[in-house]
Amino acid sequence: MDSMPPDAFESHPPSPYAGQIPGVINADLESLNGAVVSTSPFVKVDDPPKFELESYIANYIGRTKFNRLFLIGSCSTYLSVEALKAAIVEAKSSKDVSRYERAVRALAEVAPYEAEAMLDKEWVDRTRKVVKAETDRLEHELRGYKNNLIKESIRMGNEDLGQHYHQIGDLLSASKAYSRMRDYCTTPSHIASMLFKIIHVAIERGDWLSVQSHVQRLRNLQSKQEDQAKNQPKMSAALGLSQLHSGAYQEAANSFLSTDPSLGDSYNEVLTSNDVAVYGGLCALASMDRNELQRRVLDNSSFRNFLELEPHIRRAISFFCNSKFRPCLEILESYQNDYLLDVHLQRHVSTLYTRIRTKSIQQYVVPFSRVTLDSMSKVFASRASSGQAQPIDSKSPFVQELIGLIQDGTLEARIDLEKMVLVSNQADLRTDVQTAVLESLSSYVKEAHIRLLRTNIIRAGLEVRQLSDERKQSHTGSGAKHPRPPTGMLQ
Amino acid sequence: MAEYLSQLTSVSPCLHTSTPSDEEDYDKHIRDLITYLQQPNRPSELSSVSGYLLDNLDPYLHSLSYLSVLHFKIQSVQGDNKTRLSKQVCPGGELWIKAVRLLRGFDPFQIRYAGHEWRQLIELVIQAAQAVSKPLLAVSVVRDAMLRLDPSSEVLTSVHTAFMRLTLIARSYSLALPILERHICHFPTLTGQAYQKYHQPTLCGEHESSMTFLTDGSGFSKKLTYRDHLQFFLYGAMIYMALRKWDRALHYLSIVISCPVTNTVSKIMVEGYKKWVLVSLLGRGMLVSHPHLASSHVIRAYKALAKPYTLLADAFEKCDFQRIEVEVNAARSIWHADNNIGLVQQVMCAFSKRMTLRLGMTFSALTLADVAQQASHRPTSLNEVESLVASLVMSGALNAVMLHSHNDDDKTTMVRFCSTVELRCFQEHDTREQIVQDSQLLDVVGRSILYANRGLELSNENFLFLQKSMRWSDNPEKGSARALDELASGIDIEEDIMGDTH
Repeated sequence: MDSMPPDAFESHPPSPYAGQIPGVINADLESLNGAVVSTSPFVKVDDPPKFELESYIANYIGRTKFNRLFLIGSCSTYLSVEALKAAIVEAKSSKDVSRYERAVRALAEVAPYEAEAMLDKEWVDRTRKVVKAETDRLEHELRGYKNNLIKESIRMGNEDLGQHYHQIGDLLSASKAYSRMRDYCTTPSHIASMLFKIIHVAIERGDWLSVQSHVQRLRNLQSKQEDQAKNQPKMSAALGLSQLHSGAYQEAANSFLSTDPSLGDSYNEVLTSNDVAVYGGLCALASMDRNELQRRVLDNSSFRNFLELEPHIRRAISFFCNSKFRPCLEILESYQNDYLLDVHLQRHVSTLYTRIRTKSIQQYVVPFSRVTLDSMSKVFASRASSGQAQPIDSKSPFVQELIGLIQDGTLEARIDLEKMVLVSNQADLRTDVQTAVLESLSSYVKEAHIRLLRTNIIRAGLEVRQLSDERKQSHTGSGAKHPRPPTGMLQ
Repeated sequence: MAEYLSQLTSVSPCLHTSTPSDEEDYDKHIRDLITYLQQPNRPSELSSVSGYLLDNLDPYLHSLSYLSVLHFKIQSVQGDNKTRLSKQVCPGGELWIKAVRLLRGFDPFQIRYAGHEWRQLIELVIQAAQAVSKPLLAVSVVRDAMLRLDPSSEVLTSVHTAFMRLTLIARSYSLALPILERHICHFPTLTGQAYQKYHQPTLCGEHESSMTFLTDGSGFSKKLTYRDHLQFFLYGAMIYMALRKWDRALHYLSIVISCPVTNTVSKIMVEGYKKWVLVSLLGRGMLVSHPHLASSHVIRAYKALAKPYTLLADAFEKCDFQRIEVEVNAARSIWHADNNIGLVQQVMCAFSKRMTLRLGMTFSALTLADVAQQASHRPTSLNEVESLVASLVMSGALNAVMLHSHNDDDKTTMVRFCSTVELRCFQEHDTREQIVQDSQLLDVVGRSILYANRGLELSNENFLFLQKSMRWSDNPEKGSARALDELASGIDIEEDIMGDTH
């Protein structure tokens, strides 16, 4: 027990994931794990998504299946009953009681009269007993192994215990048990498998910092070439996921883009190849410029394999590269509901979409010195308002959006409401430089003056001091003065 | 009487083309005169014939005698009465005229020997002008006297602070500018430096810096405390505020708030900080970052003591007029108590001005109705907005034109902002002016830094000397007595260097 490696799990306190985008992202997975039970869903999606629930969920295995079902059930009004029922079935097939209880409670809120909305008390009690017995047995066995001091047995005992904790949903203990394996790992492949297990648990817990650090450790592991090649796709995918959650979209895009297509369905307990395509594609769209997109996404032969699974992402990116922003944005809009029901993407959809939209507007303006607001709104204004050719004025939402973009400095342009055009600002570098030079001159001179005064104030002993100090000083000062004749003409 | 006169006129202004030996001669003359004036029965003798003497002495040629006779006379007139001024001293009185005559026309070189009396005279003039509630009468007299004594006005004296106060009371702000535009860089210090024991420059000589005669012991200034210099800079800032020169005011306030402290903060500094917040909103349209010379605990103290101000600044920066209004109303008593209500009101006005200026960054043309909607915080009539924009354009703050449309049915007015490129030709003149101003300041500061370096023994000559003496002490075979000799000769070397510069 005492042999816990210092850099193991404990070094990353689980609750405040410092360095991540505001607390909301952490809430989703935490709430799924039962830590925060009463969190209301982040979004409500009313329209039916494009996917078929059954075929979608069939792609996943393991605990993520329940998490995804539960998220869909709590967020989509259209699919809630179906998804929650499936979630209950899923939960009942496992040993995690709290998950089952949560799913039942959620279903009872949506559809109280369904047969599944009643808690199966008998199952709950039975499972609890089984779980307790199993935990005791495993811990007992582990103790036995420890007494015998056989490394391999201790490792396996810890592994079994971790697996068991993971299955019953005690992620904290699972993570601890797995990290205890470390000292008893003898071969690199053992270490690799241990790290993967920790990463898996950390992903479920939403502890993205720990995911990143463990992926890093995995990368530094000295192992055989073929092992490395085998691990690479999973590593990149996990790293990408953690970067996506920390809001580093550019890095996330890079990680997903470098994921090897051999990932296939080998990582289905976390994410599928389709997910890699979607996450990678969206992150790339949001963070790269047109050249980069063309070169690194569309012409990337390995990522093409992923893109083929999600052809609409591929189409959106190629539309963007060809400056056809309207169709690109339309595709994204039509799939928005799907992405809002994705366990990892949900919190980031709106940010990613805003970024893509802002970037499109920026890209659209680049070639023009002035462009009519009319033609811009044809591309960017939402369908509903442009259904009938509405006259553009200062109050139309699109113009308001432009004003916002200009004011926060994203768009280097000004609006001419008389001629209804957007005029790009011509930067006058010469004047800019001159102003900058003058400014630095005056600020330098001012600071030099202040510093000089400061020096001289201290030299003359005129610092601000406390009253008692001052009295003391003036006392000694006058005392010293007395023998001196009064100043004046005498000098 | 004539005998006195001949004694008193024994010293006349030296011609200042003189060699050092002449200067020493002159110095001796003056000191003889002073000893003569200092004789114990002299005050009563001289004041009895003061009328005749003052009429016959020339205030420029015999400044020293004139000053002392006047001084004796005033003393005899005032007697022991410290609080009430006699009529003769008050403006219009006989002695007032004599005093003004002297202050306007004294010889700055002679006066250096009588700093104490000079300062008393100035204080008397200030006091007298205030006593008859005509402070304006004293302002220009005192200012001219100060500049006459020390044309560079680099050294702060208690007279400076008193003068700033007088200007504020007289509300004659622009009269103080000649003093404020010369930059205070020094404070009278004790002349306790090693080389000065060996090389004491004569008081009457031409000096590069007024530091040489405005010293701690010269009597030109009362003993300064930190309050005096803080007050001077705060008053200076207030004068600039009254003249709406926000940039200069901000600089002066920065000096106040970044004043060095020992474990405590002066209330004057806190006042300065409050004004600094408001002025930075008025001048820059945002809260500028703190001068980083101010230490963090001082800033923390400011923030705690000036909460309403920082809240107001926050609301201003967020462009939230409702909040500004709420903050202003909530802390109305505080503004009153701090006497900052005028500035706060100006901040309110500056807000709509700033919003209009911001529009120029976003739009190149828009209707007046849009201006009203975007920039102003409450429903205002178009005419009001139009006059606001027009006044901004006329004052030069906003580079824009307004266009009335010709159609009778469509009475919209367009405001068209000029693009930044077109501005360049207008800027040239301003730029030149700014460069000239800054180079002046740079000059003054550069020179003063040189002096400060000498004073702090950080000049190159000092380092060379230190290097040398270290080499000597490293040499073991030389005895300690020998090393001391060398040290003394080292001082000689330094003395020569200093002598060159004087």
